[in-house]
Amino acid sequence: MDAHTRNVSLRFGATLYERMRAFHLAPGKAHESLSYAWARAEETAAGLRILLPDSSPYFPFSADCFTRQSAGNVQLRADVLNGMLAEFAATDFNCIVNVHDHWFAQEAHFSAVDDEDDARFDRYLREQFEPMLATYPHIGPARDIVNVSIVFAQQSLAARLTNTMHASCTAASTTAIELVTVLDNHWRTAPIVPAERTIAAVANDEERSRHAEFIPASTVNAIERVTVGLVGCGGLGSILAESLVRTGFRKFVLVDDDEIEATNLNRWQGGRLQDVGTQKAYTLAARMRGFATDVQVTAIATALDDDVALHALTGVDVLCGGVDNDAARWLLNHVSLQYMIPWFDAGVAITTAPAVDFASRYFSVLPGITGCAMCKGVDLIDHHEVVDEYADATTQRARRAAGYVIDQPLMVGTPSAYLLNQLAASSCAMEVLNYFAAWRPTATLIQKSWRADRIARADRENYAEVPSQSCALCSTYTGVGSALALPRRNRSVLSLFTSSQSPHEKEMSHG
Amino acid sequence: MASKKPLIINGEVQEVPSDAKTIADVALPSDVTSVITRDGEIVPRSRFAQVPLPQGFDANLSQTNKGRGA
Repeated sequence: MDAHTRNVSLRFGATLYERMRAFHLAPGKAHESLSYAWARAEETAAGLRILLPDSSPYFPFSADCFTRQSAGNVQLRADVLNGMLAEFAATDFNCIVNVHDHWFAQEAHFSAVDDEDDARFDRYLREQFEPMLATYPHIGPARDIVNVSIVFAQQSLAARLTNTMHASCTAASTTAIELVTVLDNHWRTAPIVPAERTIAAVANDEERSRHAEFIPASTVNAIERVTVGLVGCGGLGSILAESLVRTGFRKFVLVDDDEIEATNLNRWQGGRLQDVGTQKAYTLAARMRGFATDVQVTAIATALDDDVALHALTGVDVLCGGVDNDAARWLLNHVSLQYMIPWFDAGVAITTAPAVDFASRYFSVLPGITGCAMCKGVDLIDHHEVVDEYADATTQRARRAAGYVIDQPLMVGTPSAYLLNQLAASSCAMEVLNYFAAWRPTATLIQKSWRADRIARADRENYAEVPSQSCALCSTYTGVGSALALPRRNRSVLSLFTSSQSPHEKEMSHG
Repeated sequence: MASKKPLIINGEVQEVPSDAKTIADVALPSDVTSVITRDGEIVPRSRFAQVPLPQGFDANLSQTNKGRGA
């Protein structure tokens, strides 16, 4: 794809973003500075996404690194640059980010000097650095390097991609980065130049007019721009999807490999007799397009760990889970961490002994901010179930067949959980909206019991959990993108030894 | 135009003259060495200047040059 026509977004960890700002816009600073970060660039279904987690190597250079440093100019010593490039070459990072500042300006713009420097450095990357890696494996792995520039000013930043190999005679070789997200307690975007597009006259829009009085216009703009990845289009997911559309979300990726069965009609939102036998994802997508004029839905009727589904999900802005098994949650946890995507999960359970209770659960994972699903301090995922799923497809099918009933899985069939699903979906949708509107601290865990009439809510204020230092997932996987493979059932080592199915048979069993 | 605020250079508060029109009007000492950031972790020249370049490394001979060229 040509460099100047692609969608490029950048996703920061909040700590790294604030560290950059503190370095480049420190009080009392009166000269330009230069710093570098190493990042991972991922090709997703939504375009190129630059991942800059808090753990990214970041190098704010001191004064002795420069041959010149004045109020309006900074020049880095060649020996410093080459030493850094030699170390960068030896890593598997594929993106180098140069950052400088126009501390004297309110709004950020690249100057003509910046243009010339970015082009010159990029020609070095294309004509010397990349061919060098291809020739000398001992220097580092051969790879294409993504060249990103950021300039900070007091009120905004500008960011762009440069690739002189993609430049034509008439087009510029740079691509403006249109969305810079900072992963924080709430949805946060960095103020960029050019400014984000806004949607005018929200109050005059009949589809949204009743929201305008309590949902700020900035929130409406944000939720209309983002893409929600909804995994699980069953009883819970179908209600969650409708709730989000009617709230104002407009872009969706739906993933579910199940068909609507007659037994689903007691809880599948909007399901009709003629829908039996159709794919849940496709049928739900068709319904959602009828809710509003500008809904965009991509429906994928494959297993969650299918290549197509995962490629689509790695490009979304927010993940919502309405799944019925912990193996899917385990995979969603990885997608959330590795691609720095906030994840909101809803779940339900009905117990029948000693008395009937309807329980719902919501939790969120904000990569780098909260603990992940495996280190939250409460057991959210049954690790044994995950192991069973990845090791043995027969066990997986038996567990799914058990449905929502968790205390008598072999004795009670899937109950009609429509009312409970409404409760769980409503709670989850409300918290997703609050993540964008910031009315109150983002909830990280909510558990409700109908019989006990109890609601337990942990949020970023009353229980400000952080990623556990001993969590192997948080410390290893956050922001790594595709540098580490996502868990895949058919590719796990265990499955090779425990299943005699062919790959084709496995695909059929999940599709 | 940015609102006037004190500058702290090497620990000393500096005043921006009220009639300052451009950056060049701001009186800056010539021996400014650093501005301390919140976490205080600044990379010195020795961190990378002493990295041995591997055999075959194709060095960038151009100086990185950012800003307005002032």
